[in-house]
Parts: sequence; C-alpha cells; structure tokens
Amino acid sequence: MERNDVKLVLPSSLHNLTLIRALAKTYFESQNIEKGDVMKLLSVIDELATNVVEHGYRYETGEMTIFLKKIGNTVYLSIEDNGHGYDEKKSSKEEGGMGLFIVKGMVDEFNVEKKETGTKFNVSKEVKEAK
Amino acid sequence: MVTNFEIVEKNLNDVRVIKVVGELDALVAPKLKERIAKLIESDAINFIIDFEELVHINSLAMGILRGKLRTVKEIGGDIKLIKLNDHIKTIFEMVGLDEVFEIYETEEEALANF
Repeated sequence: MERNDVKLVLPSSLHNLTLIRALAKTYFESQNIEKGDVMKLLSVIDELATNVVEHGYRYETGEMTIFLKKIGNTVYLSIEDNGHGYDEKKSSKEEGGMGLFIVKGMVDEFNVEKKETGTKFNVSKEVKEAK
Repeated sequence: MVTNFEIVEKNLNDVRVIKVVGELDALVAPKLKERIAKLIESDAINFIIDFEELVHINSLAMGILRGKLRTVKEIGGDIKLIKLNDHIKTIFEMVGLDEVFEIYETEEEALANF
C-alpha cells in the first residue's frame, strides 16, 4: 500500500454505516478535498456499503472491505464483499433501486468486478481541492 | 452504535411539520417510515418535511418518502419538502424526485401552497 492508501475491514451491518461515513469523512478531509465533493463521496460510500449489506450478504453475517486512495486529483474507492454476488437483473425492494443510479451519477468511472465469491465495486472521481 | 438522527415535530394548522435532523441512512430510515405511517393512521394527511438540519440522505429514505407521498395523495393529502441543502437538492434532481415533490425554501411558502 502507498502512503495515503486506506483499507477498512468491517462487519457487514447497517449499524456500521455511521462509522464508515465518519472514517471516510476524516480521510477525505485529510486529503484536502472540497466540501461539496466530500459530501458526494460520502453518499457514494454509503450507497455502496448499504448495497453490500442488503444485496451482498442479504443481512447475513459477512465482511466488507473498503479501499480508499487519492492519486493527484482523483479519488479511487472500492468496496468488496464475499457475499452472494451482484445480479443486475435482480430488482431491489420497491423503496430502493435508486442507490447505484445515484452512485453512477456522482462518479466519473464505475465498474463491477464479479468475483468467484462476492463482488467488488470500483469507482473513481476527480475532486477539487479545499480552499 | 450511536446514530446521528432525530425527528422533531410540530403542528401548524392542519399540517404536521417533521424536522429531520442529522443523517438519514438505511439504518434509521425505517424510523421515519414508521413515524409517518403512525401519523397517517391518526388521520394526518398533510406534511411538511424540513431538511434544514439534514446533512445526509440515503436512497432508501428517498424511496420511503416517495412511497408515503403516494399514500397521502391517495387520501387527498400532500408532503411538501423545505430547506434542502445543495447536495441533497442535487441528489433529488438526479433521481427526478424534484419533479415528484413540491420543494420550497421556507415553511411559510410550503404552508401557503396546501
């Protein structure tokens, strides 16, 4: 890992969302990222982590790993699980379904790695520096 | 685990004003859903949701609000939103909810449009 790379390993649970956002916020602010971009990145990480809990592990026990790094003006964010795998065709419950749409709208690049067991979502976003 | 979320309520004429404070994520969104459902059960049909002190919203919470809007419209009511910050406004626009909900800057403005 490089000097400003971060790897967080947490149990898959909605109870950890507050902690994930707080840790990620501290990281983004330490990288001197402008507030508006920090808010967007926090929405992205929250939607992806929620997706892991809901779809990756279907609320069962599991582990999620979050990777954060910044190279130049670009933030790279990945969330990996060892769950049931990502199925594009599977519809979310009626109240959901907008999460990944929001993620795609907020980042510059989005891709899904389907692993033998589980999924890794990779996104990147160009960010502005805080003044 | 500590959550940073609170619901503060008041009545203005026949309108229930619900101020959502803090971070509305997938863990706490069902609490808002239950609260609105309870109020509808006790005959409230008109709501203003105040987002002034809301700093984060998850897509599940937006879906819940969309569902509750549908419910109250069927019984002649409405849910109007006020004081969205720029970030939350952007998300609402992204998913088209800015055209589903009436969104106002102030409580008075929302109240005048019931």
